[in-house]
Amino acid sequence: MSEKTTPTDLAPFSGVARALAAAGVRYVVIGVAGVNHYALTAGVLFTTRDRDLFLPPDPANALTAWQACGAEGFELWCGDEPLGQPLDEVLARQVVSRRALVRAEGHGIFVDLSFVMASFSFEEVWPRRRIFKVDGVDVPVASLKDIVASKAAVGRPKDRLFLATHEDALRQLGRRRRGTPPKSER
Amino acid sequence: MDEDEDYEELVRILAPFRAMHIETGPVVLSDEYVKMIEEVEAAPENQSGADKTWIEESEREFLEYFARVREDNPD
Repeated sequence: MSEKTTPTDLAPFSGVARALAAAGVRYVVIGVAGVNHYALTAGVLFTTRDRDLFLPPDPANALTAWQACGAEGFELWCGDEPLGQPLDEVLARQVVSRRALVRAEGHGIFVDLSFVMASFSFEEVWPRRRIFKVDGVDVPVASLKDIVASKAAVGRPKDRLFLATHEDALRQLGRRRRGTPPKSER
Repeated sequence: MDEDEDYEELVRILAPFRAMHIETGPVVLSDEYVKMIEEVEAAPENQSGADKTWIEESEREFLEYFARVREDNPD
């Protein structure tokens, strides 16, 4: 494989992950995409176009992350507007101070760069992260327990729906692994 | 049926759902759920260094499949 791969050569998120890793950006994958990394079979994958990344409230780190996404052909948005130009530390300090979410859009996916993970600070989740390989790239993912706990803490309808579905999926997975049929089939 | 009638029909169908009370707020996770999460995290496949490329590939296949879907309505 050549050193520089085009986004279409890789799975949608891999190009971003490669660029973030090369730039030394600190982040962890959270949200449904984070949960998917712990799936033991394709049957428990949750389909999503979103990749939620949790970043520390560090303007320099955020700026590097935005630049890496931009270099991969993603458009950067903050709320309903394009992220201002120039991308510099002044802008990064403003965005971080407001804990505003920046969305990188491109290649069919949305990469949400967030400074907020309900109930957790970045420094709490960072030591508990797992580092998985995706297309040969190291991808740091928050612990499954932290991601689920964060969703439970927020408890929006979509979080509640996710938690109920995920719990059921894990229960079914456990039954299959133990070879126990569900009650309806006994 | 014209577009206005379609819209009114849709509003009528959705009315009961709009009136539903949807709970929000923190959720307490059951002990069983937390135990299952711990078991999944402890699985050999979920330790640092594990290759998860198949997950992104599944996602890409999903996106590509639906990008090819076209409406084919003979009416």
